[in-house]
Amino acid sequence: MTHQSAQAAGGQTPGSEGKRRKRKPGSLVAYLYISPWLIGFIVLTLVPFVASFIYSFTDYNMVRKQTFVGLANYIEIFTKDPVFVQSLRVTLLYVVIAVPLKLIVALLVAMLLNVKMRGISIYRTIYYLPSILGGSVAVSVLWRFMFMREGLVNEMLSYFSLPPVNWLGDPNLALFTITLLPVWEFGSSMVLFLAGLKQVPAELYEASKVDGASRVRTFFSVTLPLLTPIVLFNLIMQMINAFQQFTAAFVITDGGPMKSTYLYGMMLYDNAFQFFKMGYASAQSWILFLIILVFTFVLFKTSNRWAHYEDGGDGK
Amino acid sequence: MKNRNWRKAVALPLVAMLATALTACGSDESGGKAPEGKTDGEKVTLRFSWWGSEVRHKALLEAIDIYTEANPNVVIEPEYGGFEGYYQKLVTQFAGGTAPDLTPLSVDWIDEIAVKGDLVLDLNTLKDYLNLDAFDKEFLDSYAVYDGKLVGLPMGANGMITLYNKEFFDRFDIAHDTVWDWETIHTIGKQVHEKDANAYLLGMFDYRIFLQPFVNQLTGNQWIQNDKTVGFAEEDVTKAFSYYQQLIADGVIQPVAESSLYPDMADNLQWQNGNIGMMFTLASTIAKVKTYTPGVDVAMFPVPSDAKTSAVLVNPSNPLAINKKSKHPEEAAKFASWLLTSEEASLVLKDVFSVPVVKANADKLVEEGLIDPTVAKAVDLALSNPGEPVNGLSSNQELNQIAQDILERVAFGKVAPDAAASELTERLKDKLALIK
Repeated sequence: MTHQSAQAAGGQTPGSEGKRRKRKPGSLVAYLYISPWLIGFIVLTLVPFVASFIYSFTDYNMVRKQTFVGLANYIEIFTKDPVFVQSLRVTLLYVVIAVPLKLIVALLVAMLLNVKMRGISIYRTIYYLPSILGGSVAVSVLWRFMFMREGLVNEMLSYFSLPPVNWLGDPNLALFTITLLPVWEFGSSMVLFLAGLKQVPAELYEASKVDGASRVRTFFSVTLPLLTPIVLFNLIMQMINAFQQFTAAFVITDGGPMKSTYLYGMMLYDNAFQFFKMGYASAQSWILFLIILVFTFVLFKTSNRWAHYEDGGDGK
Repeated sequence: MKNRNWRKAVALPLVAMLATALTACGSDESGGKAPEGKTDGEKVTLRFSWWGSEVRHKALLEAIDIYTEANPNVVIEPEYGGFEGYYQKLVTQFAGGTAPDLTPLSVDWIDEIAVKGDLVLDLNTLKDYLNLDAFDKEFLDSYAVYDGKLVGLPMGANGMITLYNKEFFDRFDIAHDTVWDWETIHTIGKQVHEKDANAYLLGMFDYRIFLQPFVNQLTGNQWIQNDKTVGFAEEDVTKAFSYYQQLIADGVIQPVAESSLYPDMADNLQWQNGNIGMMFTLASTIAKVKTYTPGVDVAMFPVPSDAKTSAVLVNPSNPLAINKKSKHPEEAAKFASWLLTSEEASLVLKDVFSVPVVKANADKLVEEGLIDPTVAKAVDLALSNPGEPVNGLSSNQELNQIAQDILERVAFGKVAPDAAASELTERLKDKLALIK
């Protein structure tokens, strides 16, 4: 058996050089196995990612050849685009309302489902269902019909002799109505909270009971502190999702009335696919990327002060 | 050695794929010259794409069958769907070099696709294969020739009209033959709302059915002039905004907080329930409106007696264009010509693209009762007093969105008419300075 054929057969070859070489065939096979993902990542994520960065310095409308314009797109966004400011304001408001609301609902439902009773797994599945249906177009259309002036929600209000509310037509209310849709999809956060709740040691609850703590006190002094790592994870993931929200505003209100629900994602879509300003939209998407990066960084940095890890958070 | 081969085996396709992807991102510089292939007798496949309703799909599929039966060497692959997302898909296809051979163009896209993008053929270069004599030359010159280029064959004539609910007019004693101008709208609309607080003469306004024509009637200019200046003075737009706020205050128009959810008036529940009297719309939408409200008729778009131009929008319903990169432009032209000029095809298409532009065919359809008389009347009305064809810049979607946003704020009473006019002028000027 030659040196090479021994490697190919996976045989042991003494010496450091042999060891180094021995790993290669295996790792190449591994690459081959992950190649579907790798190709998908390169073609559908990496290339568009790099391309959008390059396009952000160009004037490109897909129909004509792109021209390099340097920082002109970025300068226009920050100095001459009132719609950008409006959309950013709406999006921040949306994130500030939708993310905490969703986490609170997810935690409440997780606590409700963290009991031992017959058929609890059926209830858990039922509560997870909205997340599977998700923010799809069909659900958004349904939402629109429910909250329109002549819709189901107002019909229900009328049973209680309450006046109809213009949920989607009133510029002061429309954004709030839109935020209710993602709140409804609390499933993935709920499952994580549920897993976290199950990790809370029973002896801590017993100890707090012995000390005579009320249920509210137990929640704030025992449950919540131990859940903070999961709160951090959920907060970051949901914040990223919220910044990128598109479907709800696009289908339900089309960004209106009076641009009160004109989320960042819609502005990107309009610039890219309504006005075909691909360079400009690319620049805006990079700005969004940086905004999300900064928010995530701040959350991570401040989490030292409020996220408690049983091992002290340093992995020791 | 084997290791290296492995590495190559994996790396090469990856590099090739990356290169392909990067190349696909760039644009083709060849400019897509029309190929000069002779296609007579040779088997050719054409891709024909369009958008529309089910009725239109059925009619076009039937027409394609008739044509391919008579021309067995031609295969036509239909690609059809709704209007939503059609433009986005089409532009992406053009960018990727996979656009269909034949596609209708909405008037709003002509400037970008046909003029600036130069992506479709000048049909004058294919006149040997087209029966251009069948069309009214003046109509073609006015509505299908841009920058000296015949961008497509009009699939039908379309125009802006006043569409009204007959039952509503009877209920409020409004004469069906009322000649509308902005003043009569205000007077009659106010009376209607005084009689019934739930009834409104009109649903809502947008820049296209109100702001542009109203201002054009005052100025006689294009909304945006070809030299990239605005075609109005601030006081003209102030007048329009003040008038709009007056209509809302007097209950002539449904409150915008109720109507803003329905950009398409045909979907507005109050219209469907018969609580709104009329709308300004294109003749091509009549069929859809009639599915909810069958009892409608048409009248002339409001034109004041002292208007400098009627500003009545007339346009070809979707000129049918031929992709510059089509491998068989002659065959595509022959099919387009047959589809839009032959009596045989017109009897199949009827009014799916509004009234045919070829007069002989339109007359035949009316004579045989194959065309909706309301649609025929609407097109006649619009063509009887057409405004200047709208230029490319006045159809620019980004500029029009600015007007639409400010108009909406005016409607909600969030901005005073003069401040809105000043903001609109400034923002349009800023944007125009950036348009190349």
